[in-house]
Amino acid sequence: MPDPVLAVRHLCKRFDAVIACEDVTLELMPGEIHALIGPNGAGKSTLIRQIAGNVRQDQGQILLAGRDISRLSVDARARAGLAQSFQISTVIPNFSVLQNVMLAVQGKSGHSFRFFRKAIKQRELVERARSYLAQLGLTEREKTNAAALSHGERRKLELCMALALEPQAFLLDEPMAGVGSAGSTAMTTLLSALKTQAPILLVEHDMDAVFTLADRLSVLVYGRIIASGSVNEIRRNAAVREAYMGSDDLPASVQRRS
Amino acid sequence: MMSREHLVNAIVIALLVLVPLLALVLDEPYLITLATRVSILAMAGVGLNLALGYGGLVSLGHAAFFGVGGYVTGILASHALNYEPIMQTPWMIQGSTEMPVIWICAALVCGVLALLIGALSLRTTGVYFIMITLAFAQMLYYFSISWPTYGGEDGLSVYLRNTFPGLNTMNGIHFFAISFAWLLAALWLSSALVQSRFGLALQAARQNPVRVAAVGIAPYKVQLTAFVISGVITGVAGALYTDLNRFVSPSVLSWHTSGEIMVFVILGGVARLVGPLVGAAVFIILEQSLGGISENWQFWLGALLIVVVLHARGGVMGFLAPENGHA
Repeated sequence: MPDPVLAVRHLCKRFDAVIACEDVTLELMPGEIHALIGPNGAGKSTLIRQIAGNVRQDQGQILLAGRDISRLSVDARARAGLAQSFQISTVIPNFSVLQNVMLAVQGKSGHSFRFFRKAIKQRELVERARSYLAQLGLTEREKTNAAALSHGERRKLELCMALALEPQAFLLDEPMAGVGSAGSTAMTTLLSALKTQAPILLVEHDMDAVFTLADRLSVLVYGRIIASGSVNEIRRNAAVREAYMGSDDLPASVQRRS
Repeated sequence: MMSREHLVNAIVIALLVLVPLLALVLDEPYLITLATRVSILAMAGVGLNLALGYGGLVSLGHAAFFGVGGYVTGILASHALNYEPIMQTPWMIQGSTEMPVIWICAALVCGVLALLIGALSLRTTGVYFIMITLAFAQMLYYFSISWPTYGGEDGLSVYLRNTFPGLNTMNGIHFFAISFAWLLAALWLSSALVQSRFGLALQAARQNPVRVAAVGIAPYKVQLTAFVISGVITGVAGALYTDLNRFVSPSVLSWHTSGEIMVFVILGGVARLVGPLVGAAVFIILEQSLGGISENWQFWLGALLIVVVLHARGGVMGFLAPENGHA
């Protein structure tokens, strides 16, 4: 078996009395999409944020390509090869689409302390940014202010910035949220293309998308992983169905397809 | 093609040169002094604009840099004029009346000071950042009042302006030329920084530090660097200001000074290259015209500021050359 790209070992996090994450261990293997599902408040976002470094874990370890990154800052983890997209679209609103991606290319290159040459005249920066825009079909929007993009386009821009980091692993927190059904089909295509660049740890509520995309699923309930396995294994798992019963976001597809 | 903003910038800068030249012809030395004051105060504003405008770091403590730059000039010059070394042990350090030496000293001292203040202040944001920068400046203000060695409350006089090779600095137009050259240098530096990779990261960090960190750039380092450069520019302006007045007193360290520098930036246009210059010019023009009519001219300045903040966020520059969008 190959080594995991990303390995989370015995991660724990409490917020006062609330246990957000309890002894979570999971792995992201090369070339796979590993989906993280679970009811609202299960701690999926907290887990992603701990891996990305926005939230510091109480205990446990996070390894990226075998290297312990659990004490690094967010920016150091990004440079080490983690690219994240946020649950709520997070771009630089008053930058053009091109400038947003240039920023990511610049972050990847590690040279942000250059003071005198105009950024827009640096071909290595601009051309690479344009090539990523072309990959996501955003070329025509390059001059548009990010704040003026539609919701779906902003989601794409975020993915484009993640791609520009040429990461070892993607952490995507609900990339389909709010893009509509046509948008989510397009996003599904996009994510399966993204997977060829680096494996994806995916938090997603859209179960159709999850079942189409995921190679592996882990189910998080009250901060614990109660089941982990292939799509079929999870569908058959009684504990998972139990956990979803009566839950607000009961995914119809879990039942329909079983 | 010259954009409208470039054209306005060129006109504003040209006016700043024309006024003292005209004053020279008409033999109105007072106008030359005013233009020099505008240049120096504008330079202080250019420094602050880098932090406040482009970096979103609302510092209400830039008087610390302006004042310390001013005191570096006063202290070096007074020691040199009195033939007293600043210290003898462990090293012999003499005062100086050479402007280039003084500028380098002011820049270094203000750079280190900005590094210390910035490193602590940048751990906070928003209103706490405003308060902590204010607190640092006020500490220095009270220190300057209570430290009798350099005049305490009475301030420190410098009998002769410091010297610059090849120029007679006591001649108004020569000193204007020096101040104006510094302003141009600060404007050039500010323009280059804003458009560089560093500027991209700085402006991004103002809008969304979380995103900046997520692409692998540490917002703290970028903002701290900007804060230091900002402090150095404002500090050198302070050094020039002491030479202009041949006097420095604790008032340059008071929070009024921080407030005035901030007013230049807001009045002229936040995050606009020549905004601080326009702001400082408007400020001085108001002071001179309204100041003659009423002691309370600042009341009218306040009214103008309210109008700008409520109805014309872009300041005077936003009115002269509306922004075309990005960043």
